[in-house]
Amino acid sequence: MSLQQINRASGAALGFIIAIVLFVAVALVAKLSIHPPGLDAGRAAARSQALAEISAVEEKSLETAAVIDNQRGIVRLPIETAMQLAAQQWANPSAARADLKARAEKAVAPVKAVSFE
Amino acid sequence: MNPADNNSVCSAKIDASCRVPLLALFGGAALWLVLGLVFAIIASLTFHQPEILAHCPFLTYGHAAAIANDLLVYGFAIPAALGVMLWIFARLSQAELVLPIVPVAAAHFWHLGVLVGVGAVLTGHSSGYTWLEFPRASAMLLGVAFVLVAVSAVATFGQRQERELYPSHWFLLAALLWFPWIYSTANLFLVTTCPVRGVAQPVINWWFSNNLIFVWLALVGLGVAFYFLPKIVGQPLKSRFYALFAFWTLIVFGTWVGIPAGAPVPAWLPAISSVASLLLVIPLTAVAVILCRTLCGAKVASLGGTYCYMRAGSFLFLLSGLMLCVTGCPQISRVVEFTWFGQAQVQLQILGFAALILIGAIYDILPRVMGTELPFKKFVNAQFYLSLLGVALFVIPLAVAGVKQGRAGYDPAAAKLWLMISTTGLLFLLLGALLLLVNIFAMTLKWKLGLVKMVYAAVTAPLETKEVKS
Repeated sequence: MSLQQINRASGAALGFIIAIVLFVAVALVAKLSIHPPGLDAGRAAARSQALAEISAVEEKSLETAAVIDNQRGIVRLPIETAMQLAAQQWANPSAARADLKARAEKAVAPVKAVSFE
Repeated sequence: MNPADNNSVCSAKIDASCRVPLLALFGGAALWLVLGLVFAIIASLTFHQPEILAHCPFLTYGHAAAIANDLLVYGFAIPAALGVMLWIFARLSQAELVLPIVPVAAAHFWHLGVLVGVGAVLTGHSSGYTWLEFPRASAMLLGVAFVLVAVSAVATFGQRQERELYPSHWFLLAALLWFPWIYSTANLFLVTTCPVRGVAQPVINWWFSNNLIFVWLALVGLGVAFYFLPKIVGQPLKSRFYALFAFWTLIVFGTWVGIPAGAPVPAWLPAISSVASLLLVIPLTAVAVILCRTLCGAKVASLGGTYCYMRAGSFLFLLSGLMLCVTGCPQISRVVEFTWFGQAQVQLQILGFAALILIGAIYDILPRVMGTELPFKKFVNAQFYLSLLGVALFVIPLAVAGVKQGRAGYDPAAAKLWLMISTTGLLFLLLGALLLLVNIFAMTLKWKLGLVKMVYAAVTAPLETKEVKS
């Protein structure tokens, strides 16, 4: 085989290999450049948002004070405050018991109808 | 020594350089062809004799049909085509095969890849994509093996004496580039840990299937036929310009085909595919004109030899192409899509067109590269007629079954009788494939025995006294 033939043969083989590498590279680039969101990405986001909302509401109800029912005298207190108040009141058990009974009766008593006339 | 003697000596050297690679490729291909047809028969039997092999979980229809198809294409058609291409490139270049050890190693890699793939599909580890059932490990082996054989073929092509390119060159070089492109792309997008999703999956799968079965096999089959037919009839291909036209129109229109008209994908995809199917009439007409003008008036005895294989294979390509064309017509596709008609076209393309042309080429090449006659010459004619009968009995009933099924509202009972006939066709094809296997294996055995005898004679030959030192 002459030198010219060797050069031609190796050139053709090299050209073929480069062409194949280019094909594979183009396919790889096309594959890697597509980043579709995960199948459950939307669902997971909605669920975590709902969880965050529920947690926020629960945290608010546990950590803040608010009036729940003005007529019946029901209020919401932070847990720490409620525990301190309970500890103070129950230092005198008979008074605390009487107060509890009165508040319970007030809480279940029928509400007076509000007249707008 | 006159130029004719010089030329024949040169041809003998070229053929000898191809011997071992071609034996490795053709031997495995013939074995896989037989096994593929056995699995095809098993798959076909499940439609009318479901109790046979029902107790064997490895041989359910899903396994057997996938293995049969893969063995026919990856096991037989591709290695056989690679072997024929190596020889044609060496002959057209008037040069010995470059790096002959590379295709030998690649042939073994290829057959190992097929074996791994078949084992994976049998044990239920198929990828699930049509024509891409083999798992990643197998696909890697096949891809590397193909590129290695192609490097040897292209290097041989590069050192050709005549710089002019023949029509066979265009088709076969395109086939060498086509397969790595489609196979790597389809595997990267589908058979990976992170495949593309949703509608892109079937679209890529349809694109790959069509490019492999229709375009790639057409490039190989026509390339081989355009080499052998002019040589056999003793006149040049008529004409080179028609061949160039057929080549480009086949590549331009053929690649878009494959998406069924009723596929649940964006409407523009099946619409383009249908238009491309109809436009396939153009390359088919060009091929028909080439064949008519080249073969008309040829005084060649048609007794089942290579000429018959090539001529029948080319005619069946036109028929298969026409079947693909008509599926692009909405009135017809409404009836035949998702029926056995599609399978009939695919099997006609593989077993009718590609297999006939490749087997014809193998029968022509083998005696040349081995430097001896075929052990059973009569098998060549016998296999031709068996194959022709087998293809007719396999494909026509499938096509009829498809039409009947489509008209009967996809009633599976409408196809039962025709499926039974198609199994008979497969039996004839298997018988023919066995003849090829026997011929190749007998030839290989004879050659290996000759080698052993030669080595034994060399070892046991008495030393000349002048070489013995006291």
